[in-house]
Amino acid sequence: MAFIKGYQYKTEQEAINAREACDAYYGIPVGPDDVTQNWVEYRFAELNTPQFWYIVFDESLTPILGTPTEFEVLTPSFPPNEEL
Amino acid sequence: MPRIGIGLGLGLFQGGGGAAPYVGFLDSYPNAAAAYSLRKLRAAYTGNAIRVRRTDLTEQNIGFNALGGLDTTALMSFVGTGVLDNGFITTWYDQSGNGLNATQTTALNQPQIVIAGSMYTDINGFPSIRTAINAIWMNTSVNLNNAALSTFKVIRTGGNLSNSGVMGATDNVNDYAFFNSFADNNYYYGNGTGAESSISAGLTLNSNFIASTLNRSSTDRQVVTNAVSRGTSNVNKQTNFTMRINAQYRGLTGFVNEIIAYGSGDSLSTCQAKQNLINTYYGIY
Repeated sequence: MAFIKGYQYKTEQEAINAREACDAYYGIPVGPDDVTQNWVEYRFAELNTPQFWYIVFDESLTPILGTPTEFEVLTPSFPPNEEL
Repeated sequence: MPRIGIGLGLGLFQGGGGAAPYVGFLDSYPNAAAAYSLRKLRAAYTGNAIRVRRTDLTEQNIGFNALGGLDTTALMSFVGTGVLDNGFITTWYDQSGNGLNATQTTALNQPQIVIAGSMYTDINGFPSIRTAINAIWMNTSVNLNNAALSTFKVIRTGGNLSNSGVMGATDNVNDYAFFNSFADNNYYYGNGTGAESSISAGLTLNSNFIASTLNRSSTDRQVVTNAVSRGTSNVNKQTNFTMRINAQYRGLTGFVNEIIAYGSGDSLSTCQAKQNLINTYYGIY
């Protein structure tokens, strides 16, 4: 489990819309041959109930996405269950 | 604090001085599954080392200098030397001949090589790529199996060893536990959910290491750093995976110069010979 500062979305389409807004703000992609295709990528909180999509905060996102919130994202347990 | 400098940017001729032909690491030890480096690894390789995105979002390929080191002159000329000039890696080209380049298409997740007009370097001044936990990684299409694998990673640790996953796999949930050092200075095997094992890797803070994991079968594994065996594991584990440079979760917060992977498990003596050859260039131990 991790506490994430960022932006939380109930549907993947909302996350896609947020990503596209960031791309438009920063003008990505710049050139047709550029590798860089997005400014930021969203992630899927697969283990949470209910599941959701989220974008991890970066201060470059504030002008587009606004003030972030903090929320929990479940990750696999660690450390591993068997050690030498 | 990370050491930042202009770096050597020089290559070495393994065969000696004078007019001897260039001999790269892969000329001595060919057939890598994938090979990423900021130096030229193979005499016949004619491609670039990296593709870099600078602050204004334009991109350019950066190759090697005449001695086989990274062309730092071209790098700094492209990125700039001002306090607002930053350079990020969009592509780390595969020098193995298999064409399996590592890429990161998202700007905020790209590893960094130039910060505020200065190039990141390792302890000895060689160019190095900055990575970070939970944020920086590169994807590849290198398919491997952890029952037949040898990896060679030239890294510089940062100020925290609790997460140092230099290699990961593509499962976004379970990617962080493959063949990496993290969590109390240990190498862990497995996928984060099943039976795993750990071996103390002998890492220390803010230091350079040549780190290898040798997976000779599903029950025969060994960790070697700086040509010293750190331990073995016989926990039965066999998993197909697609390699990722720096784990998306629990990745290394530090620096990476080079990652070479082979699809077979080396003996300890072969691994030590390879690490020693790498060390003739980097001078780590």
